[in-house]
Amino acid sequence: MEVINLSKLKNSLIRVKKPTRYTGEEYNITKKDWESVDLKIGLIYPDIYEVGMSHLGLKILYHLLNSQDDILAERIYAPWPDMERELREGGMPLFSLESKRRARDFDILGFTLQYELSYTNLLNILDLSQIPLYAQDRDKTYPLIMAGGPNAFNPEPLSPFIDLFVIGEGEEVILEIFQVYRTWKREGGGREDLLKELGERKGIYVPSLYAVEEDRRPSLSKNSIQKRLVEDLDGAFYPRRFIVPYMDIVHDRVMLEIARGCGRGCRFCQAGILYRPVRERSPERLQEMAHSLLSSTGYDEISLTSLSSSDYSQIKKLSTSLMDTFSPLKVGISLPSMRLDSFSISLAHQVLRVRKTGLTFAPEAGTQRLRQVINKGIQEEDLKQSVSSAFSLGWKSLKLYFMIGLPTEVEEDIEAIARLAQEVYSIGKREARGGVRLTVSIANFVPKAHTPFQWVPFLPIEELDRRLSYVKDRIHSLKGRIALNWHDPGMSLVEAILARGDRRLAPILAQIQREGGRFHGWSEHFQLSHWQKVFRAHGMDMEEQITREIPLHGDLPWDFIASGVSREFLEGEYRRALEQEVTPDCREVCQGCGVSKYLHLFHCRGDIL
Amino acid sequence: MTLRVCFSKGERVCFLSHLDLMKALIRAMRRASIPFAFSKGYNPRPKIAMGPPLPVGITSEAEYMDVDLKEEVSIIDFSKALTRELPADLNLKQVTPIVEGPSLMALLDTACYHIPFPTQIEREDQEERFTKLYARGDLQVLRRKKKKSKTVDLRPLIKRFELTPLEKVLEVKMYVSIGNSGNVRPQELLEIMPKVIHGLKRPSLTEVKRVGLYYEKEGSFLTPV
Repeated sequence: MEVINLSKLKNSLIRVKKPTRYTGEEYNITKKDWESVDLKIGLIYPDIYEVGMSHLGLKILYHLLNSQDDILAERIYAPWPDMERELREGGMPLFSLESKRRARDFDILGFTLQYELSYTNLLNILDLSQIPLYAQDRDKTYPLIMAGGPNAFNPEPLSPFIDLFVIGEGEEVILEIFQVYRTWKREGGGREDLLKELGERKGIYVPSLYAVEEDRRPSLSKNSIQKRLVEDLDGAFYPRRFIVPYMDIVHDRVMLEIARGCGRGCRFCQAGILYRPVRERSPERLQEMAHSLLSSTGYDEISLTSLSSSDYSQIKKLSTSLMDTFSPLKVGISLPSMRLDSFSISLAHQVLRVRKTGLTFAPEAGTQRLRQVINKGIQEEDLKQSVSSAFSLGWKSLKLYFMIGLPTEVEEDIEAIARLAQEVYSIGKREARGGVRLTVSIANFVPKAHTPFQWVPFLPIEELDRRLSYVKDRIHSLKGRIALNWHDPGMSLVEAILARGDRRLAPILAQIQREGGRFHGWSEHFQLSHWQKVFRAHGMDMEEQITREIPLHGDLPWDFIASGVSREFLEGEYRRALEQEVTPDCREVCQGCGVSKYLHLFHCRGDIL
Repeated sequence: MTLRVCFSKGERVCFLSHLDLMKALIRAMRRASIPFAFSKGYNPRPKIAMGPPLPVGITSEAEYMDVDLKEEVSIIDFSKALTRELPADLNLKQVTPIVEGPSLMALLDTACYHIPFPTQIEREDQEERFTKLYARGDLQVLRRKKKKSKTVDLRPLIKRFELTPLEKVLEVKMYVSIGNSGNVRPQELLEIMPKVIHGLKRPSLTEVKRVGLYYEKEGSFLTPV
C-alpha cells in the first residue's frame, strides 16, 4: 500500500490550474483510518472535480457508504490535462482526495455514467490508476470495477471493461453488493466466485458471466436484468450534510431532492423513462432535510431538485414554508426545472423573493405540431402569457431551449424557433422595464435507448449542420439582445453512436484513449476527425451506424435490460408521435407503461405516489 | 459592531485563492450562526472586508478580516462558535472589536515572509556572506504585465531582514512592502535572493510562510489589533 508523496504532489499543485481540484480537505469530508476499515470503495465521476462534485447521486452514495462502520468511501475525479501531465511525468498514479491513496488500492472502484462523452475519461482514469482496461486482464489483486447511472441502461459499449453494472438506483443496491463482497472477502474465493454471486442479484449485470453471440450481444433473454428502484423515497437515506467545496463548482448549493421521476412523458427524454415511477418526499421531511443541510454546510442557496420541480404535488406548501423559515437568513431558493405555465411563474415569483435569477424554459420545438410529436404539450398562447407575466414581474433574463433534428422536423419547424424567439423578445421589450436579455440554446436531438424514439435515425451530420446554420442565420438576423448557443453536431454524432451502440465500440474507445483522447464533452478537447479516423481503422463508418431507422421489431443491444417500461408502451408512443397524438401526464391517467409492476409497497398514482 | 478577526492558514488550505478563502470563511460563519450584517440592495452580501491577499500555495500565521455584525455579541461566544465551524487548518487566533479607523487594506503596508533557503554555506559564515553580498547586490526584478514589462528595484521595498543560520539552511525573515506604495511578491524574493547571494538555493514556494502583516509606525512594525 502506497500513499502519494505529498511534497512531490505539492510541487505539482503549484504548477497546475485550480489546484483545489486535487487537494481534498473540504468541510464535511469523511476520513477514516485506512488500515482499520475493512472495505474500501473509490467513487469516481469520470469528469473534472467541479462537474463531479455537483452530482447528487454520488453525494448520496458517499454519505450512505460512509455511514457504515466497516466501509470507507472516498472521491476520485478525472484530472484536467495539466494535472494528468504532472501525474504521468512524475510517475504518480491517480489518487483519492481524502486519504491520497492510489486508486488501485481500493477494493472497489465505482464509476457513475452520466453522459456518453465521458466514456474515454473512464478509460483514462483506469489507465492513470495503472489498472488494465479490459476486465479479462485483471486478476483479483485489482479493484472490482463497477459502473452505474443512466448510461448503464445500455452497458454494451463499455461491457468488456467493467466487471459489473448496477442497473437502476444505486442507494437501493449498493449495500447489498457490499454484503456479498464482505462475505466473499472473509471466505476467500476467486474473483469469478464473487462475480457469479453478485450476478445473481436483481439489477446487477456481470458481462463476463455470459457468452457473446455472433451478433456481439450477450446471450441473455429480453428483460432479464431488471432495474432496481427505491420505493419509499421519503424513507430512503438522504445525507444530512454535503461536502462544501472550496472552489466554485457547477451546482454550488444545497440540492434538496424533492421528487424522483417525471410523469410528463416527453418522448425524447431518457430520464423520464429510466426514473419512473414518480415518487415524492413529504414536505415535512424536506423541511427537516433543508434545515440540517443548510446548517451543516453554510450554503446560502437551496435548489428544489427533480426532473420537473413545479410538478411536485405540494410545491406551494413546500416553497412557502421554506421561504418563511429561510429567507430571514438570506437563503435563496431556486427551482432548476420548471414548466412554462402561469402556475410556475407565480410560484417562481413567490419563491424568488430574495434573489431573482434568470428563468429557463424548454419549449424544445418551434411549432405546435412538432411539440405534439415529442409530447411537449405546451400551447404557444400559454407560453407567451407566461413569458409576459415573467417579464412584468421583474425578470430581465430568460433562456429558451430548443432541439433540432427531431423526428418529422421540416423547415417550417426550424423557422418557427426564430419566430418564437423574436416574439418572446418583443414581449420582453414591451413588458419589462429596462432592457431584457434573451438566450436561445439549440441542442441536437440524440435518440436514446429505452425511449419511444429509440428507433429513430440520427440525422447525417451535413444535414444537421445545414439545419443548424439555418437556425443560426435566422436568429442572428433578429434585432435585439438575443444570444445564441448551440451544440457541436460532431459531439452529438459521437454521443448518438455511443448511446445506442454495442460491444464493437469497446476497442474503438480503447484506441481513442490510448491515442490521448479524453474530455470529449469539452469542446476544446473534442476532435471529430480523431473519432472518424479510429472508426475507419476498425472498418466502420460512423454515420452508417446510426443514420438508418431501426425496424420496430428489430433486436436492440439493450433488449436484455429492463427499465420497467414495456416495449409495447414505447412502440405505442412512437406510433402516437408520428400521428401527433399527445399522451397526458401519467399522474392524471395511468398510461400503462408497465413500471407499476415493479412496486410492491406503494401504488404508482394517488397521494402517496 | 465590527470585529477584526486574525486567523492562520495552514498547509491543508494553502491552495485556496483569496476568493475561495473568503467564501470558506463566510460559510463557516453561516454554520456558526454569526449574525453578520448584509449589504442593502438587489443581491445582499455579508459585510466582510478581507486583508491583503496571500499568494496561492503558501501558508500564513496571521491573516485578517473585518466582520460587520448587526448586533452585539460576546467575543468569547463568537470565537467559540466560529472555531467549531472552521475547516481544517484555518485557525482562529485573535478576535478584537474595532471602533473606527482605516480598513485593513488601507492600513497594512508590510508583510513578513519566512523563507528557508537551502545552502551549502557553512553555518557560521552564512550571516556575514548574506549581509555583504546583499549590500552590493543588484535587486532589480522584471515585471511583466500583458505585453509591457518594467524593471522594479526591490531594495527600497525590502524593509528589514532577520537571519537564522542553520545546518544546510539559512532561514530569512523578510519584511517587505505591500499594497499601493509598492508591492513585493514572495516569488520575486525566491528568484532574486539566490542570484544575489551566491550559495543560496531557491526553495519551493510551498515552503514559504507569511509570518505577519503589519503597519509601519515610527520605525516599528505594528499588528492591526
